[in-house]
Amino acid sequence: MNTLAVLAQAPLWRQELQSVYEALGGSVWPLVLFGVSAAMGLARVVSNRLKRSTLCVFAASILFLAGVFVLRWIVSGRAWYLPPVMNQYEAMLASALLGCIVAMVLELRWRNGVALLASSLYAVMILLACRLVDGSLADHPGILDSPLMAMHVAIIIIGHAVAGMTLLLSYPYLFAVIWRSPGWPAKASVIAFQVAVIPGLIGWPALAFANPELRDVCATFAGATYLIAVAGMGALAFVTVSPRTDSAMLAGMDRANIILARIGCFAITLGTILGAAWGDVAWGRWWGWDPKETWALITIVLLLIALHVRPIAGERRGLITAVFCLLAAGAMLVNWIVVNYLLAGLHSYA
Amino acid sequence: MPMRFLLTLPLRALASVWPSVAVGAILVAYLAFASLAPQKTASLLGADPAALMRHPIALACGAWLLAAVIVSTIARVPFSVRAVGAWAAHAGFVVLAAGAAVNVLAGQRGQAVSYRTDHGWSEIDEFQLANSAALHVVAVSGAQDLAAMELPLDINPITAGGVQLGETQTAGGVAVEVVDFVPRAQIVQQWRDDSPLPMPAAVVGIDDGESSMRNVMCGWGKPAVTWEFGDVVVMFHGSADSEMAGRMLTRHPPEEICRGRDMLVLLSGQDVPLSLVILRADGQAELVPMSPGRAVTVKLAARTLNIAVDRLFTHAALHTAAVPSQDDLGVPAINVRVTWGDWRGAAALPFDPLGQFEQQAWLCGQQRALAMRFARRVVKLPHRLRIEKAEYLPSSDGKTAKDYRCDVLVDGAPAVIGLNRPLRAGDWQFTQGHWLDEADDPRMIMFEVSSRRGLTAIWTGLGLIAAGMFWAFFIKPMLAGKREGEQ
Repeated sequence: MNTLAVLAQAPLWRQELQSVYEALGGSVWPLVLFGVSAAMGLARVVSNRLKRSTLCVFAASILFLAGVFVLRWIVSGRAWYLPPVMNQYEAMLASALLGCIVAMVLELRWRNGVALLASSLYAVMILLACRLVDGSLADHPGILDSPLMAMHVAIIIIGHAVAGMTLLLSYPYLFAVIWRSPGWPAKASVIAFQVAVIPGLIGWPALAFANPELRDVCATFAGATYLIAVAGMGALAFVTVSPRTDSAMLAGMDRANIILARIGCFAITLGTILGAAWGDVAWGRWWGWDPKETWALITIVLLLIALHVRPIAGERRGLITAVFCLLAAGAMLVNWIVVNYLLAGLHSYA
Repeated sequence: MPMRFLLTLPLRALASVWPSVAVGAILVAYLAFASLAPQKTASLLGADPAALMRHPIALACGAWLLAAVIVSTIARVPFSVRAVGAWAAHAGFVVLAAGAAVNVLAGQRGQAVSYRTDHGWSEIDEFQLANSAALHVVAVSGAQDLAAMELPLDINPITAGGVQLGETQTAGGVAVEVVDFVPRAQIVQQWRDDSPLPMPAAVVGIDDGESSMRNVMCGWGKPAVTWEFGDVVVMFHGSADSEMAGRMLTRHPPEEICRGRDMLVLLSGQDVPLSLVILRADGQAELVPMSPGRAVTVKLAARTLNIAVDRLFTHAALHTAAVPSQDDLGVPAINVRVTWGDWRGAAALPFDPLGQFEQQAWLCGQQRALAMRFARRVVKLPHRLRIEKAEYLPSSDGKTAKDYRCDVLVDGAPAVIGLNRPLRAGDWQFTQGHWLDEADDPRMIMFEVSSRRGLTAIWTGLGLIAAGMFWAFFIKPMLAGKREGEQ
């Protein structure tokens, strides 16, 4: 635990702030708030009611999480230009916060509840996974002490959060389209896939607690599994319960999906460019085919394919956009899980 | 008509989206496999794992997509204010590719090393070129007329077939032929007493009760060779005379060699029988007669050692051969054949990527010894750099490095190289690389060196991509929405 070492030299006021941070950040309140926000968001999308109250709960959740984030920033004692995005825990926390801020902007513009629901579910999943990941305040290596690096990571995190939100939209969209197609094999296949996820819901956390060395990896895998499971459950609810499983609803989801894909593509591209600029300063090279760089490029290419195919795809444009967005979100998950923990490279946490 | 159709077919294919989507999918699949399982991908394609991103599949996909960007933009996107974003982003990809190509073809990258000596840090005026291989030959012992020389073989990565087999290269009267390249080799060694030059050597074994080690001590032309066994310094002097033995007992060795430690000196020569001189840290000295194969027990202040000379060579020669390794621990190596006047020899040289540990093979010709190293090409720098002061700054918990700071002189002008603070001199950039051994007391500092010729084009291209995407994704839909609202 490096927290003690970091705080040993901290002034008294920061040590007092640490206890406030631990009380807020360690509590279940952010999780509960986003859980309520997600439930209200689902009710709002299905019934088209509770607009203002859902928005208020969502805003309160964001403010709470932002408070935790800023407290961690202050307590860590890092420079003002170094936000807490230095390890897996901080990156996950930041992705939930930044993703929700982007969703709030979109919600204020569209007012259809789709981005709000997707980001609330995303935040719940991320905050659940955060509870398993090591969140101690370790001192960061000097090579990360750069404003360029901070901007690079923050913008990439926005891109990844948005890619995660497209997963939560694309999956129910595909689910609904397949569900609506005639014949039982389509319905059976989507249910079978969803059931196949269930062992992972218990298996990953169990493995995390059984083997502390694999805790971070298992927690991230668990987060990804929960993400798919929740998306699937949302999809099931969407196609079975909702009276609004109509073309207009699907069109709304498709519209949200494409705008999120644009934001994700732009953010990951800009973040990668800033990463190249930082790489040139820090390592003496702007590109090195490191696994993280390669998978960022794969995510960008997949999102660019989604955006380029869309205008010529005719009636199937929503379906094709959803498929490529899902693939891009998959590439993003590979970047967060496989590259961070299982592959050796400059960005490896292993 | 059919001819015209056929002629325009490639352009039509490039201007269409679906063929490019297929190529993009192939590229994505290739990148994913190459990134997640580089060894398997390389063995499947028969390629070098280090050069997978330069494989024809990746280059062909990249070239197609680049051509498609150019053709489809010209053919399908009429230039207008609304299309500015698409044009800028697509132009950005072309400029980026051009800059990257210039960088690869005209730029250079590698590592420069400075060693700490008694007189300060050694000057840096050259660097080792990345992805290159060269055979370095250095003549020693009586080689005043033969300066250090280098026989460049090829600048390609060695595992991509860059070593020119069967070609004899000559320099300074030495002809070297690379007869064999083994990508994963195990070096088989054998010592024999058949060198044409007098070359004393001893097979020395030491046992302190907890661990035992064996070492072949050969000076390769130098009068003495040392070996550090824990805190004890062992020295072998194979051409000693009777006077030297007496001198050893009365005069303590220089402080830079023993540094307050116990020292065991093995003496042997034409008129000196094998003997051991024990030089204790407190200044006491003792001579013990030895004979090959018989161990002598030495009681030192801290511990008791058994030391034995298992075999003595007067004309030692190390015969090496690179054979294919049966496991994954093999290293790239070459077998070379050397002709030096009437004398012929052979040696195996493992590839030494850092070129810093003097991983050399030694051959003894009729008049002098020859050292060879299979390492990277050494390229002269247009600047001279000398480290004045090297400072390591740890973090508050002492577990991570906050900075590795070097105060340097570049062509006489003071400058600083630190983490995230590269030094730029003309086209060249120096960034922090590795510090060996101890961070707070380094013996060697390595800088990453690069000349980035296409960098301006690269940044321009990336800037165009970012700006173009922003316009196309956000500004253009906003303008379109506003126009729709007005209508």
